[in-house]
Amino acid sequence: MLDGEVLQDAFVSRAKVAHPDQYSGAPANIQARARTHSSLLNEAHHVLKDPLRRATYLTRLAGFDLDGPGDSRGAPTPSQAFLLEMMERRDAAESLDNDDEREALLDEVVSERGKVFQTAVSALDVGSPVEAAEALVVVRYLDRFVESLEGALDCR
Amino acid sequence: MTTKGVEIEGAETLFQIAEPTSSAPTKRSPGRAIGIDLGTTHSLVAVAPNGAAPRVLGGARALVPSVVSYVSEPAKVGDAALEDREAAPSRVLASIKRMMGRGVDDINFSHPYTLDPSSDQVVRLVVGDRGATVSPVEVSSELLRHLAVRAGETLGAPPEGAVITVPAYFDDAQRQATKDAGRLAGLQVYRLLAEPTAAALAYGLDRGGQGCFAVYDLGGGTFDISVLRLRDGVFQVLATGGDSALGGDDFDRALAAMLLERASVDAPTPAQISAAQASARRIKETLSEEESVRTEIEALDVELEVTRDTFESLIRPLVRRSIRACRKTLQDAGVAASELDGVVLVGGSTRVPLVAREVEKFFERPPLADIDPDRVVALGAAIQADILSGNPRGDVTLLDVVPLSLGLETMGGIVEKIVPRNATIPIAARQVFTNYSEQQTAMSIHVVQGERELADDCRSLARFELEGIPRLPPSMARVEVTFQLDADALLTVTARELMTQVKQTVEVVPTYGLSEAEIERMVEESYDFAGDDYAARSKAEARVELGRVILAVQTAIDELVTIGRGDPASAADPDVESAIAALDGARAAMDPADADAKALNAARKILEEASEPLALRRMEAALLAGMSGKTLTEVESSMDEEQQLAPRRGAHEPETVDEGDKHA
Repeated sequence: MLDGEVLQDAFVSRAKVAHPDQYSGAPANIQARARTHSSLLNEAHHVLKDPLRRATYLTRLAGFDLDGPGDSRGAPTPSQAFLLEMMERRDAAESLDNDDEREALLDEVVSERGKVFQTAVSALDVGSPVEAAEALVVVRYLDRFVESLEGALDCR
Repeated sequence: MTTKGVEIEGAETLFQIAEPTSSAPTKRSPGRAIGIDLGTTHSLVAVAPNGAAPRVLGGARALVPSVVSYVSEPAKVGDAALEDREAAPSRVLASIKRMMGRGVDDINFSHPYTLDPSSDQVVRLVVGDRGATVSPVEVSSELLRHLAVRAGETLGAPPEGAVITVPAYFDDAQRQATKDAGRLAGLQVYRLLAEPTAAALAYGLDRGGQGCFAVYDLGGGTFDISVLRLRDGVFQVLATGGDSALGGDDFDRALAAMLLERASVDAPTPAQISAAQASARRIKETLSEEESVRTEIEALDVELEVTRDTFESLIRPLVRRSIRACRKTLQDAGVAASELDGVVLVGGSTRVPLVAREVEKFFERPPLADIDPDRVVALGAAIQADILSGNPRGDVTLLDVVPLSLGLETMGGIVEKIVPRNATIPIAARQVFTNYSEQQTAMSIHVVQGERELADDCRSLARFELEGIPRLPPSMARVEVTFQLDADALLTVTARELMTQVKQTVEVVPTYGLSEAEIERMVEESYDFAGDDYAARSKAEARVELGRVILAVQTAIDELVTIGRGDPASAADPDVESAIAALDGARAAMDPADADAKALNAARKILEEASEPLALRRMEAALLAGMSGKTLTEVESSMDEEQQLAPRRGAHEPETVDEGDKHA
């Protein structure tokens, strides 16, 4: 577990030192270094503060790069059955004709997504990155589903 | 898990490419920096030299109308320009901010100007009898120059650098255009600062604020909403949002349309439109105080009454649009309205009672507006300008974000996001591209900014070709492209082929801006090239600059020697030795009183390179000190003993970009 307050304090204290503004009068090469340090720090913070990005990163460290090129040890390919199921669920969502039903479906998918994500976290904890990677791929599909449901609700 | 792994892992790639794109000296003279609020309808300049309280310059005439007249030479600015408006409306340019960084296709709003038909991408406005044209960047630079002159009178010397504010929601092209305008006005642009962040700085420093704040900034032509967390001098923007085409001017236009309708004018002339808009503005301002207003508009031959209710029903949809943006931004920030510690109103349009009411309703608390909403942005800019000119002002750090996601166009015109919106800047993203065949020696890359799925719906920032890819079997050539957003949220691109380590200088041609070469040429033309004058000036500048670097290096050496006193090992520190040798060389170069700029600059370059290891050690030491809570001296002395950083520095030897590699 990562304590948000600890992360925030650690980030801010480092950001104060590394920010290019602290080197405003310095030669260009030093400013470039400050920019590099800050960029790395900001990127690290960006990954650590978000549970999904952090889990994806940990999975990558274990050798499974969900965003890597399609060749070796990239994202596990989801099963045909899962893809078919997702397509059917999306079709069903599109044929819903009132917002109450959409809201209900949205709640259902959000809670399902939470459970699948928890599977990924547990898998990482016990050191089985394959299982984590598989769960994270599902989380991504569900996130996109949630996004389109929210989009449909916003339009109205 | 600790952050250590992330930093080191990324460092291997990033350290190789983060070379300065320009070796231009970064001269700073404390106390000679100004803050400028470059607004759609009016602009202001403020100063806060050497830790002084910020103040807006110009007294009762502080608000300079953002209007430039090209009726006669030289161009006139502000109130003087307004006087020409009636005689030649098409040559007196107002609200030019709306055109900054925009392409011809983006100008889909009405304006009384003539666009140069031969310019198909960059906007140029015809202002002369013989078709003479100006770009929005040039028009803005006239405004900036006018404000800089005003500030120079107060400071007693021409200002050297400026912090210019931009709407938080400005994209890369709009920011770049603003920075170019600053350079053209002869100013070093120390920073482009988001307007709400500037306002937060003015408020926060005023009262030592802590907590979460929202800044609602409705100006003449733009709307911004930012959520910030303030703690121990750190202003961290959590999220920002807005609409770069929503402002008080839209209130005027809505009201003007109603006035024309009531006056039964079906096909208004340009003069009638501008009369209706002028009346609309007056009516709007009066209705902020009164419940109704009676007015006679001669140009429309009508006398009518407008109540506040009527006005509010006209503008309600516009205000609601801003509130929707607030909701989205709070969501992005992960903060509920009830969790905020305050809401700040910025921008003249927040004087409209309906705006204040809707803001109060949404944020569940009365907003703060005790600093003049027209001036607060300039005040904040002046504070940041003073800091960046070399006055620390109590250890303030601003952590801003990029307002819109950065993406690349992929197959089928789909955008792949590489930097999400609201990421803290500076930030870099790396992307590896592979070749699909041995014949492929170039790839074309299209960078866009925006939240939409299709590249066509986003703002096109730049297109470029990656050339010189080595002939390797499919997927073997791997080009890593780095997209770096700096602290101004401006983009630079570097690339290298990973197999052969061939570096590339990527020439990014901005889709809608002026190219670097065009700006260089304009800057040069704007200098007074009176021969000797120019040589003397650059000589003096080079001398000052070299003196500054000598002083900095000497200070660093003194610090190390003090720490290592009594320890014979430190005397043999190779970094110190090479810095001392370079220092002697630099002093010798300074010696002849008639040394020319070229010799002085060459000496400075040698000294900078020789002292770089030392400077890096100081910076890394400062970083470590920040992490462990030790003082800089403690860390530096412990490193001296253990030479902790030596192996890491060896692994990341800085590379200098070899000119010869450019077209490899």
